[in-house]
Amino acid sequence: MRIERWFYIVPLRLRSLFRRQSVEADLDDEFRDHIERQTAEYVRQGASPSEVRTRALRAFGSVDQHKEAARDARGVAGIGHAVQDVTFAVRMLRKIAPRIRTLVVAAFAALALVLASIGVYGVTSHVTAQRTAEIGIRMALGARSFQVVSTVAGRIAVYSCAGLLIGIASAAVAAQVIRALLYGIGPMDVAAFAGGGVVAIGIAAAAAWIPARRATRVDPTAALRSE
Amino acid sequence: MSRPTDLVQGTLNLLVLKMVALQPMNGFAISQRLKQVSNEVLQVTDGSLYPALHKLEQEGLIRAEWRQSENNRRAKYYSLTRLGRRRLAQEREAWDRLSAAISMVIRLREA
Repeated sequence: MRIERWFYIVPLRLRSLFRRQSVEADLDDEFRDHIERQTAEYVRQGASPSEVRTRALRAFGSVDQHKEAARDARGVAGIGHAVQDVTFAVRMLRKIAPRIRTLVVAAFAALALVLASIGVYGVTSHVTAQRTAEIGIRMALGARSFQVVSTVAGRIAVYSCAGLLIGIASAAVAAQVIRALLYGIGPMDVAAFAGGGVVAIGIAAAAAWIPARRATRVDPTAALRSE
Repeated sequence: MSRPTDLVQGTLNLLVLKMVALQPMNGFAISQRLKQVSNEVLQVTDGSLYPALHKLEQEGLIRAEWRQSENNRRAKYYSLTRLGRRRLAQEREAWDRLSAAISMVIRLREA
């Protein structure tokens, strides 16, 4: 029942959000159809043709108000507001002096980088720590620690590269949005992209290496019990 | 319902669901039909009917479909979904209970 519900709701919500123009056109058509039917109804009741249109319009009330209410009922106001907030923030930032603006943007960028690093480190070290038992078995069977660490690191490297590609693509799109806020730097600055990428890869490498290394050092029987 | 306060909360949804359960209908037909079958007692304003329709559509209780109107324009027809049918049954049951209870109370004999 839940799934059946989402099956209807999700496409409708997405449409309200992204196909705003066609939703507006639908509302126009729906209301126009209503008014035409009302007009025809008045004619059928024998009202004079000169006044039916005006009567129908008056009976319907404010089209704009009805549209607003229908839009509210479609319930995308929350996301719509979030988009408005971001647009507003960007507009405000554009108004302040370039030096201060650069500082603000840089501070947010640094914060974002720190948060991203914490995230990458947390996930990577957790994934690696989960393999402690497996590493213990490999070590007990005589694998050398270099081999074990490189196996673990290889897997992490694949994830990280995939993440990096997605990240660079999204950053390229996002950079166009904040283009107006950039000062003395282009939206496709190679150094900035490379710097961010290096930090992310470095964090992932450290996050994979430290727990893997630790796992190769512990007693294999202890490692086996770790799960 | 020119004044929404006149209407017991939530009954508009029940009425709309029942109307489109009869047959697929456009907004105008729903309000006309409602007026007819209730001997002109239930008069929904367009300002409250359309938000209710769109809300029900968003909730997946009714489904909208575009058809060609008699004069070759696009007309939007609403019909009940399976989910809506279930909701209609629930709401009708709730309404029967509520209205029976209210009738019982207001018919109490005064001493």
